[in-house]
Amino acid sequence: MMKINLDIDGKYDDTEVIIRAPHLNNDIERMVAMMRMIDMQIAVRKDNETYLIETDKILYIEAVDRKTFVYTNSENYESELKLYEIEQELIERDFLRISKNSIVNLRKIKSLKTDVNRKIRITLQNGEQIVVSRMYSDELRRKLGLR
Amino acid sequence: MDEKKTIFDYIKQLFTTYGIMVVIFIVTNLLVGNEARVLSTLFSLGSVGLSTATLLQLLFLAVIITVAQNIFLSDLVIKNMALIVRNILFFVTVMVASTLFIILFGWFPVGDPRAWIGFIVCFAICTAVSAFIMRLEENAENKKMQEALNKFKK
Repeated sequence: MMKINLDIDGKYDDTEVIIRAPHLNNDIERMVAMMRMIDMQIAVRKDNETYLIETDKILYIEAVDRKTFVYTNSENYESELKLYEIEQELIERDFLRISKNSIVNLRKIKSLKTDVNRKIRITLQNGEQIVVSRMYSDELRRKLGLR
Repeated sequence: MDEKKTIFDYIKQLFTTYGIMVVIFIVTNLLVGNEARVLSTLFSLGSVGLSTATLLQLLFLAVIITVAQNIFLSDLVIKNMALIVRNILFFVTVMVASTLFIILFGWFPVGDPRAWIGFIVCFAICTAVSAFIMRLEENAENKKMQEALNKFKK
């Protein structure tokens, strides 16, 4: 069982998290990734290397075949976290779910266009296009103050 | 996740189209039914009403329109296609179907060029007006969303 110790004292200048474990496993990696997000950063992987990217650099995040991919202007990375875990942290930071398997950074949208079946076609700042499903298009309109 | 359409949604869509068509034909029948009864099988009963055969023909045409709507104006079958191309394909399909019905069921004398010109002109006007209205609505909605997005990003 995991032990959790909290040491809250005015003598500390900053918040520090120390994890002690016999070995690094997926749970610890996910725990670290979630804590990074509090700091507006997300731990991602590419070619067996781990990177920390600022959340405001993210265009959108997509879940494909139980894997989570993070897209920036020119790169794409994989994250250890599930889409819903990222969504929980980023929902307050202008990210919005736009389909069953993706969330978008609203600040990285270049333009919006209506599409068939009351869907919305998003063009991102890098020119890439993604579609907001009908179920989530009303939520996007609400978020933009149109409903 | 998109909510899946049930068979009842398609039936509702079909009978909405059918209802609009029947109302248009009833009004037309009331206005010109007696004069048109000798020229068109659609108005064979004169101003009295529409025959069962006419109602069934209109239902069949409504089925074709509903199928075309679901093929071209939704992403059920075609995932990626520009709206304008979808609209063109939809209207071409409806025009071809209407032409077949005119020939098969003698909706007007097929040897009369004036009747064909009238049909083509009416169809072209209806198509152009509906495409124009759709375009206006689409542009207004896009503009509204873009303005809201720009305001949000400030």
